[in-house]
Amino acid sequence: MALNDKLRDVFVEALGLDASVDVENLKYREIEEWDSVGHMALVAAIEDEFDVEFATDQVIDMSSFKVAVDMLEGFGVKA
Amino acid sequence: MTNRIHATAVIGEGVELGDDNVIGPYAVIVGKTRIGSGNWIGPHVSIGTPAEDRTGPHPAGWDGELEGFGVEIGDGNKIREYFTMHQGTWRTTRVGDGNYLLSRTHLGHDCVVDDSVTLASVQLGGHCHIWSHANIGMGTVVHQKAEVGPGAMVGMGGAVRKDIGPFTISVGNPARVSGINVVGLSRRGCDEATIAALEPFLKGVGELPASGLPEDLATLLKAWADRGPADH
Repeated sequence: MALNDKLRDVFVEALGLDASVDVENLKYREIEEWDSVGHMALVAAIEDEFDVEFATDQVIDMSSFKVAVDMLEGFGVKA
Repeated sequence: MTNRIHATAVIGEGVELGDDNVIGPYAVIVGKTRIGSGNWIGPHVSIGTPAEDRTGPHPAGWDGELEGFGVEIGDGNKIREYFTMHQGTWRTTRVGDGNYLLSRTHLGHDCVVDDSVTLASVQLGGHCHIWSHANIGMGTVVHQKAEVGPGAMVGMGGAVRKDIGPFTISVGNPARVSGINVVGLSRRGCDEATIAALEPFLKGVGELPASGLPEDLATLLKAWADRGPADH
């Protein structure tokens, strides 16, 4: 499964998103589900799924789906 | 103005009170306790009882036994129902000025709460230090010796197991930083450019800017950056 597809599934599951949400263009605080509490649930879910651990500055900087993809690629995560 | 103390409140003989305090029904204030002025202390509050230290002394403060490091509370605090505060074992357990300590909040022995802090039914283990302007959400638990930095916010139900940096937002168990408290920084006089310059420091990846911060904020953040390890 491609990285984007796998990450999209994590977003949907962790944030409890409806199928109609355009996940790949999602930004932090753009929807009610992705607030500060949702953010930490999402970070924990991504860490579990991809076996990575984000530093504090990365947690703060994870402001969109696309940034999350870039960070995972930075960890060497591949599709 | 004189103090207004309900007839059912117990005020031990070692307690020093300033002026204009309101002390509600069934409050128990004992031990070597100094309380400033203009505080509102609600019903069933307990201040100055011994540390929860299995091997430590348990003086009966209500009977005039004054052993221990005592408690100090400043001015203008709102202390709500069922708040409890134990005296110290190596330093005075202390609350500063202008804090809002919501019902059922507990301060363990040797804790220090600075000024303008909000604690919403928070449980502080012993030796904790909560710095000025911090805001800790409902039902949060703070592990003994942990520090919550100036202006930090902790979301409800958090479990703080290690120090939380200044002007950050943390949530979860264990509490992890999820953002910067931009609103808090704005209230301390920071514009967008100043906040941007501060971000690396607040994220733990840069130094405190040498200039450009409002004076009070610079003093607070420098004190945080220079703080030593906990003595106990």
